[in-house]
Amino acid sequence: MKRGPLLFFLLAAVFLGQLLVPVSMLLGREAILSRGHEVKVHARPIDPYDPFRGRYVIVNAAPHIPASVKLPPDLSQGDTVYAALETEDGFARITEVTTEPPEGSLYLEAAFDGGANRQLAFNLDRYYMNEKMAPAAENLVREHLQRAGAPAQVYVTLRVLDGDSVITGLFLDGIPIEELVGP
Amino acid sequence: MASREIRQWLSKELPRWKASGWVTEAGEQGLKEMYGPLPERVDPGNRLIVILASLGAALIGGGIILLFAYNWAHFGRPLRAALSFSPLLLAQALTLFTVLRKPDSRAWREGSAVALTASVAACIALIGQTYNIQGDLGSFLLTWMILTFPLVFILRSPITSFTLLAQHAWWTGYARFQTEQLPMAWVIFLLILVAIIWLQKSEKKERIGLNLTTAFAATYLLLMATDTYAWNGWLLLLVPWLVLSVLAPVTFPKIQSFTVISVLAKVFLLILVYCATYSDFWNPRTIVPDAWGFRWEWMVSSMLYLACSILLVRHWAQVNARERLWMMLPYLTFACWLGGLYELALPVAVGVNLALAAYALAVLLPAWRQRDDQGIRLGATLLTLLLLLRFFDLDFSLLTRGIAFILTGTAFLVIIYRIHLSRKKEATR
Repeated sequence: MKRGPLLFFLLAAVFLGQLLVPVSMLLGREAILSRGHEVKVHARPIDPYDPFRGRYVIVNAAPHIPASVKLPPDLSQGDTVYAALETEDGFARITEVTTEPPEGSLYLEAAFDGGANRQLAFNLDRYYMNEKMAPAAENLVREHLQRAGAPAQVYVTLRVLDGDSVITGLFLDGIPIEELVGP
Repeated sequence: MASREIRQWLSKELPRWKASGWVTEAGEQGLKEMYGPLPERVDPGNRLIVILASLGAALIGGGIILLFAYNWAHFGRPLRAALSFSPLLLAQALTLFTVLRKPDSRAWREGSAVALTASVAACIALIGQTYNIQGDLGSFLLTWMILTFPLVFILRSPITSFTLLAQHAWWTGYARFQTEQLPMAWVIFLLILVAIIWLQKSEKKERIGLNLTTAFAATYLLLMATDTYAWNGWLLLLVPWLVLSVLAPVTFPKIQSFTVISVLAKVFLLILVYCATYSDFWNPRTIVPDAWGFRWEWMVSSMLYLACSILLVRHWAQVNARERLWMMLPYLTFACWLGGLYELALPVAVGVNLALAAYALAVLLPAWRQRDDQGIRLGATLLTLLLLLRFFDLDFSLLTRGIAFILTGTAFLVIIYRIHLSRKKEATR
């Protein structure tokens, strides 16, 4: 193998790239966790699997869009929009949907999913758990949601900063899911 | 100058002739002048060491990842983040050591390429999991491909080129419904092909895995072009058809082009067999197509099975044991398919795993004893793929898979150490 300067330059660039991708992922999330605003969002979990990242719960979390909130005109499927949020008992509720980031308020970035039912995709799906807890969590949540009388309140907590967010917990009636399904 | 085959044969025989005293130094020189420069002999034992070293590194790395995954919930966020980077930093240090100290060792180059490829995936996956980062499998595979692509050139690693093809196959399979990504899929595929061609040209002496990679690339190109991904349980039509293609050179020995078709059919069948090592493959819902029940499909399938049976009877005595196994595949497929219908998917998958492992060992062990380079390569590659695919097998827990991976990887390293010791002894004698 020729050990010229080009090889070492390439090697350094590759190493740097391999480190920068996970470091930027980590720093971005740490910034949201330390400086972000916490909100709660209703969820309805199911349990799938990612071959690399293991079990996770699809939380299907999305802030509520009241009927009074109008979407910007001429939106096409996949367009980026910004949902301004306000909280009521800690739960996020959308007050406005715009095509530019709203100034001075809490907001989440989303994609317009199209259709007449005003769906916005918030990309808030994955909450990772271990291989035993994820299916157990799904079963527990399903049982509680189907129970007669008052169904359980299932929600995730998010830290939100500049339109981006990190899911910090999954709760069933205010109790962390790990406590309910843990060993 | 004589053809490459003749020179390769001469290169293999000459040391024996010299040892027996049949050929003198001057005679050797005369032969070289007459037949042209002889290609350098690569000891098949060294090739096995390369494969075992790469496999050992991948298995131990995979096992550690699986054990971390098993205990992950008990670690705090800072510890998880630190642990996520440690395999990557170690693998980068190993790669740097290889480039600086062992640049000409194939085992070190392939071993560090496998370790770095695996640790990049592990790091991104673990950070993603720790911070609940959203994003699908497709974007993960794409990032992984981009970050490991230069290793083909830096470490001159055929195994990395093969891994890239596998990642690409997975990624396009995953993203096939997202039509906007397909042009990019073709561009990346062409880049990988360029890397393979570059390797073929630069690695003239050592072509481990390159021929296999090229065959895989050709088959995969065919699959992409014909969108064969979309087959949905046409197993009972596909397998006998492919087996007929495998046997085409035996049936029509005068038609040269059937040899290429036979090789491609074998590679395609092998891909199918590896898919069949997962129990989910034998689940009836994934096998019986929605349109199953049309009479013409049964009729075509029956005709193909009849043709296979006729060839089986006709050629049984003419072909070797390996070809006979290919000839049995349609019947084994049918038996497994029936097992799947009767909800025996897991035993069927375990059976396919054991059969494939037995086949790989039946190829590897005699080849090792006879120092048959081609057999060693084939057997070790079959075994490697089978073991590495178990990383994604949901039928076994993370703990079971983790321990099994580390033990098997360690066993491979012990085997290498023993080979090294016995060679040292031989050299001292």
